Amino acid sequence: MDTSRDEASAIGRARVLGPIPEPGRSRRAASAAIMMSAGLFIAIPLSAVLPTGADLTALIMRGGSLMGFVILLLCAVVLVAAIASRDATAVSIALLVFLSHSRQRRLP
Amino acid sequence: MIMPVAYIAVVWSVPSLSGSLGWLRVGQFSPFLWTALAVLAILSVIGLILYFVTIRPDLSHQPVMGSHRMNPAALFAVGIGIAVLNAAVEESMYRGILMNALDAWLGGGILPIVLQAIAFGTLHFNSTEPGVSGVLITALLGLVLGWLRRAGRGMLPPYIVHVLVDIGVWTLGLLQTA
Repeated sequence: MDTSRDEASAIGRARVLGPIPEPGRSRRAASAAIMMSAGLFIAIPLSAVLPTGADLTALIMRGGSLMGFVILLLCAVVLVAAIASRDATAVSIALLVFLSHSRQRRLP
Repeated sequence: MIMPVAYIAVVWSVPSLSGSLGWLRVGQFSPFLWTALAVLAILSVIGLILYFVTIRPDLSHQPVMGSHRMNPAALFAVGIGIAVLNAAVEESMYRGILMNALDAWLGGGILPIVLQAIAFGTLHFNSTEPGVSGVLITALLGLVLGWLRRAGRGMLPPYIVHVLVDIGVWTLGLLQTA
């Protein structure tokens, strides 16, 4: 019992302490979802502006609050596409984009 | 802080997604990596100071920094806590999840490092280091952190440098408010 527990903890330690394995290449649909997620990752922070200095409470959306809903919709479409591709890595990145940028819709 | 917690809750609770956490590893440390880590940490902090001196960005709008009820030592301790937490979240997002996905799409190489660095730069467009200069300086830091992640095949090397740079940003912000 103790031996198997020791082995399990050694395997767990090796997994966390070891190097990151090369991820398998994604198929075409998953690659497209990852590409769109990366594009949103880059573009979305640029969609909001600070009209007054570095005061982050004054953030507003370029194009008004409607743009926030457009971005949310885009993120949702990419998330659905990623889920449809059945690729865990693509779903993971699309989920991150959806969660991290859904707050954009609350900006004025 | 709700977003990272929500993300982790979803990924850990859905069995088919837990396999996407393969990037969550410390990495391999060699004498070369330790040396590169030390050199790049020093260069990053020097770059931050040069950015501060030449561009003169307003770094005083950081969380809690405006609190006048704390003495400088307590504020510095808070800054270390924020650096440790902020670096963990940003490293997980950019050198972890994003770079892992870009590697799966592009099959490694230099392009995933460049793309995650650009994304890391644009994240800071409306952040502590605002504007185009903030995007450029953080994209440059993103390249360094991405290379460290690739060279060390783990998350700890870029995390260490990120924490040091965040402590530097906090210290410079404190100096501005003083």
